[in-house]
Amino acid sequence: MVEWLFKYPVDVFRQGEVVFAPWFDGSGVLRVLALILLFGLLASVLVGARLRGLPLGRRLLIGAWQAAFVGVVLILLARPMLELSTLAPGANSVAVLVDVSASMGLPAGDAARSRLDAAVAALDEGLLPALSGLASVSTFSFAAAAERRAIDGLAADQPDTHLLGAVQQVLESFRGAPLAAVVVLTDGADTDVAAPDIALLANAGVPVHTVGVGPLALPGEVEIDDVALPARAPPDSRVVAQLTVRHAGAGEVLLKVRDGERLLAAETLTLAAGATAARHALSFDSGPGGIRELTFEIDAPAGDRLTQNNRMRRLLTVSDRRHRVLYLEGEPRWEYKFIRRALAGDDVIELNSWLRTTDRKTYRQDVSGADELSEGFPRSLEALYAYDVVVLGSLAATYLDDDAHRRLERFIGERGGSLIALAGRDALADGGWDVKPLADALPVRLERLDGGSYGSVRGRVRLTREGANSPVTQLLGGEGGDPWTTLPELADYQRLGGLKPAATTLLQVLIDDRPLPLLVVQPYGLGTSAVLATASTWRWRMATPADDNRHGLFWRQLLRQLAETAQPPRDLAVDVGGGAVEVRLTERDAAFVPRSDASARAEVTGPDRATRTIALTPTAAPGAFAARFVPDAPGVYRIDVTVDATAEPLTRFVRVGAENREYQHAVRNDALLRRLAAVTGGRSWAVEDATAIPAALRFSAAGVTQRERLPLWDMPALFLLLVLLKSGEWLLRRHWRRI
Amino acid sequence: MFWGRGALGSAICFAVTLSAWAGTARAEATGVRGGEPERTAVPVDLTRLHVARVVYDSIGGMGEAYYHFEGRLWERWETDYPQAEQNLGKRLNELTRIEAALQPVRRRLTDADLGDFPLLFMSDVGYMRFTTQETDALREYLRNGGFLWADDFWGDAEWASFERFMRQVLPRTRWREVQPSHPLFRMVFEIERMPQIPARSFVDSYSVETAESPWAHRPPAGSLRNASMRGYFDDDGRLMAIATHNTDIADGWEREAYGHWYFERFSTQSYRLGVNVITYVMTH
Repeated sequence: MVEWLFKYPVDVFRQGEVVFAPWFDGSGVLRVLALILLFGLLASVLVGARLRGLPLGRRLLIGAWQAAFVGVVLILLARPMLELSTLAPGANSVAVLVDVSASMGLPAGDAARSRLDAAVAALDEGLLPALSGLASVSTFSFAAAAERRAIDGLAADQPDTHLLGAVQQVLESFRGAPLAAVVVLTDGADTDVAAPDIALLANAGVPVHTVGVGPLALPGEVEIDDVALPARAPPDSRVVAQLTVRHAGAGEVLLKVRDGERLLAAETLTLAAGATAARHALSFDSGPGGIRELTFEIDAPAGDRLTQNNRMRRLLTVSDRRHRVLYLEGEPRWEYKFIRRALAGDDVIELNSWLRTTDRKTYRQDVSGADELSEGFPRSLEALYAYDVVVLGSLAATYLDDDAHRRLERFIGERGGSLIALAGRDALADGGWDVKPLADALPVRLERLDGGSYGSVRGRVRLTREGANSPVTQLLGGEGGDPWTTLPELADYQRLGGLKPAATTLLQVLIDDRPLPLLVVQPYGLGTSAVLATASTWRWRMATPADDNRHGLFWRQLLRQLAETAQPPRDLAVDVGGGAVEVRLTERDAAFVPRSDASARAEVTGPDRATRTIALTPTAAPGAFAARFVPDAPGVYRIDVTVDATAEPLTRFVRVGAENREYQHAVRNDALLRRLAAVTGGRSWAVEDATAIPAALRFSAAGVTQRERLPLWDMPALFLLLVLLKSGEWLLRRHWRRI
Repeated sequence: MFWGRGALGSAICFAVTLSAWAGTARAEATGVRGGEPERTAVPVDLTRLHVARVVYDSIGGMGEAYYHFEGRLWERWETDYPQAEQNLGKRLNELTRIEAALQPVRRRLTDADLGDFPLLFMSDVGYMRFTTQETDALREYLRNGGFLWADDFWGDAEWASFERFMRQVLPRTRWREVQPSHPLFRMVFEIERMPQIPARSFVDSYSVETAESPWAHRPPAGSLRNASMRGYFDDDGRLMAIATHNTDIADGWEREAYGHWYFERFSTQSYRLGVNVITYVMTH
């Protein structure tokens, strides 16, 4: 209708400029305006003479009405035209891109026809012939990249959709050539995590017209959107995976995690009505050391027709490195005994303990040699840094000199070790640990209280929400019930001051129905500090049946996780991004001083067992080295990094590209398509309207264009306006009874 | 400690028994026994070490399951109780960094809160007998990491009786000698040999012999000359229980104020061993 009234599409008016006959330009406009004003006044006078008795205001209105009529007539006489650029016939190209990623094989709508079929049909049934009459048409298929080819025999079988990258690639391939427009037929389900900035595509000055195919929603759809899993975990410990489930309806689904065929955990997740995503922490045992390829999956509920997105795979490296823990205790007590028993024979934790038995005697247990801890607290950074975790028992702060305090603080902040302080008569505030520098590292503020902060009191343990999501406090998983509330009561508690801003409370104890912080952790520098405000977890061993292993699990889990977060002197990180694998090495000596004089190389073994060697080069950061390689094929890669050809190699595994994201959120991404079109000056079209694209392309400003003047004097809108003006005047005068 | 034995003792002391028993019963009713405060609903302070005395039943009658001594009737389980534990607590606080409670605690093996006391002490166990429930409870206690110290039983018959009941607790475990080379004997004090501490009635400041008389113990007693420590070891080689046989270590604690000579000669040895055993138990 609008196009009929104004003769041309609205976009044409946006691109063009209205011009008039030469006599109308410049001062001619002023003359015409003066003429209209004069005519209006004259008309008012004449009307006043003829229509005697009509109030002045009405006479002026009639005059203005007639002046407007004359003005429109004069505009017609001025021969208005729309001057704009149009494509020069036969001189331009149009690039047509068809998405052939796997998501285009999904149904376009309710009909059985696929999205690719719908796109090809739109091209065959009018779009391509019409475009060919306008310009030279080049057709491309695209998935991870664009490929020039005919549209016959296309198959939607590619594992990636790099929409913006493909458009950028085509724009660059036409650089210097007269490209009038790019037409993209796609569902917009982009999977590129390193897509180019969409704003940069506008720099080419070529409008991109997007044609969206596929539904905007999939009723009943449930999918795993993401699985956040730590890259590494200690062996035989609880691992927490954070699953994000996207859903279109309410109900319950069963989440599972498998290691090969072995089921590790299964939990039911309730999907709330009105929400579109749910997060769930799924915990399971890491098992022995080694590399695990885990599969997270949802049992497809009724109504979930797209099942390809119900599973996701992740790699988990289960560390086989032993961690050393130093336990300093100031008095023989049951907590000491039962912590040692919990860690006895542990494959991961080597617990070396030092205990004051009398005021003048100490007792070392499980030390590696006669010299270890022979002088009490380690007297050098190297000796202290050999441990990953320090457990501080009921030992008065004054027992250590100032240097030892500073070493302990540096152990956490600079070395990246973990410290856990237990409660006791000589612990925390009562032990005088409220002094710097270690007080800065602790997650709580310590306050000295009259009568002391430590005492005998009964209280039951409660897991906090943060604790439920923390791998530190995963006692049992997948068996239902709360393993914490059924534990025997604690028999002591040490009151803490306020929590530091970065502190997280993982466990609370209910004393007189009041929840008080029990296990608090916080990051400090490169390391972690924690406070456990009790020394009676031994009751969890002694006051439960002999086959109840929660006490042992708690301590193994706590110390393993604290040890795992401790920085190793040599660390290797591997990440996948932008189609390449980044290898980053941090090399430090025994005192954790960065070494930049090392030479490092990586041996990369691909899924085809072929190996290649690449050198790691120093970066700006001290002791940091990096390398990058582009994997040849999807699959699991093994990376062994050797430093100075002498030390034991560091090994990491990484999965590249095998995760098919095509079925994640596989609906038409209209927002992306509209934005792409708007940024580049094109338009976003529905597939059923695609045949109108050639008409819009005719007035493209890109490519080789010519200036063209389109007459506007014969617009139906102008003639309609004349009729309306005269009809309106007639109706007014009739209303005033002046006819 | 044992005072009087067999049928003769039973006959002589029968009348005394009745009156003494009545006195004991009154003491139980008022909740006061040997200086022990009444049990109340207030939980025990578990931030301190409690060496809990095990209350058990014994076989036989007068002179066997119970005996008369110092004007009252004693059951076997309460021999040296509670003075021994109270004195031991004081000495532990003086000599070590252990925070020991001074209030005595006694429990039956079937008490629900037995697990609150990871160290149990039994005395005079030569006539001891266990019910099935007690056997099961002690087995569970030891499997959890609790520790049992049995003391003050002399001669072959008392050992055989004790060993027979303990075999029901851990049928697959056998007592093994804990030699003086064991780390326990060097834990805090250097102890070269197992001390023999007799009940103070058997010695005076001139005595050379430290063994008690065989007639004072369950026949056939055999030789009582060699004091020994025998242990139950778990599958990981950790001590679960010890039995100090042909010696009365707790009497050295209980009778420390008997005389200077007694303290010098016996109590110091008892405390040295007690400190070592308890420190070892609290660290292994």
